[in-house]
Amino acid sequence: MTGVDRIKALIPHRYPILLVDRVSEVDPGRTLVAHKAVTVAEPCYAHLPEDAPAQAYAYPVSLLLESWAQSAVILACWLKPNPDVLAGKVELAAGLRGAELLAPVYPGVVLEHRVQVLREVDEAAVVAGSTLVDGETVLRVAQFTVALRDSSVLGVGV
Amino acid sequence: MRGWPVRVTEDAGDRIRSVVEIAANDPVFEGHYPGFPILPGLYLVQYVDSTVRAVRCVPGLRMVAVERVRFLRPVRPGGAVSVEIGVRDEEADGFRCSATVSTGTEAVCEMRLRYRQEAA
Repeated sequence: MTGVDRIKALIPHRYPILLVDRVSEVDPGRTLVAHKAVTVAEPCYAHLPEDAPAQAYAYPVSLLLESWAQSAVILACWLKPNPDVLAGKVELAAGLRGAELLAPVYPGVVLEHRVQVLREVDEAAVVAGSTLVDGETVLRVAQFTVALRDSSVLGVGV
Repeated sequence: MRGWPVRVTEDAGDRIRSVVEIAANDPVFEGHYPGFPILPGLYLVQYVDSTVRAVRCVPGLRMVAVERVRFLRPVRPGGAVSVEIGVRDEEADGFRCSATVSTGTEAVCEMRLRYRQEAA
């Protein structure tokens, strides 16, 4: 079992936007299974009004996709850890194709992200996969491209 | 994260525009990434979604697909991004959106989303 300590040694994402809790299976360079618990204590629910309807508690699509994408980055970085952007590369999402949102996700569930590498080219990885909740698929991703760029090229800070 | 502070500036039915302030002190930048703050690209998808919801607040309307996103350049803290959305393929059970997100005159992201009207 791979917990947050090991995840932090692999990727540079940190609180409040580190959205993977553990990795349960990995075949480096090929596949990975990771998990993230969604709870109402997350910052995205902090400012909802008292009378917010049930649908307002659907986990934001951006965070669902970001959590899945971080699982992809963990797989891409498994053999080449990149925990500090300032010392290494910066991970940038380059493109996404064919993401189907099959059902909304609510607090109280554990997301099971499945990722597989389609191809790796130079400093980019193209991955596909899905997310399940209690065995039901809630997200399918046909193609996600993540690129590693030199942080020195992009310029540090602003 | 402090919600999705989208301000709609134009709502002409099939053409919608909004502006989103990218607060330099948004807590997300502490973690993305330490010492190198850039906006998580997928937040831009949320800005488009929040804009669509702001003008079409229909119960049961749900984003069901992110058909395509191209991230062209990273977004830094501070300043604002403008969102321009074209609605098309409008039918009783849903529609598609093409959106461009820009800083100033520079496009940072293009995307195509699909929405479906489900039972509320």
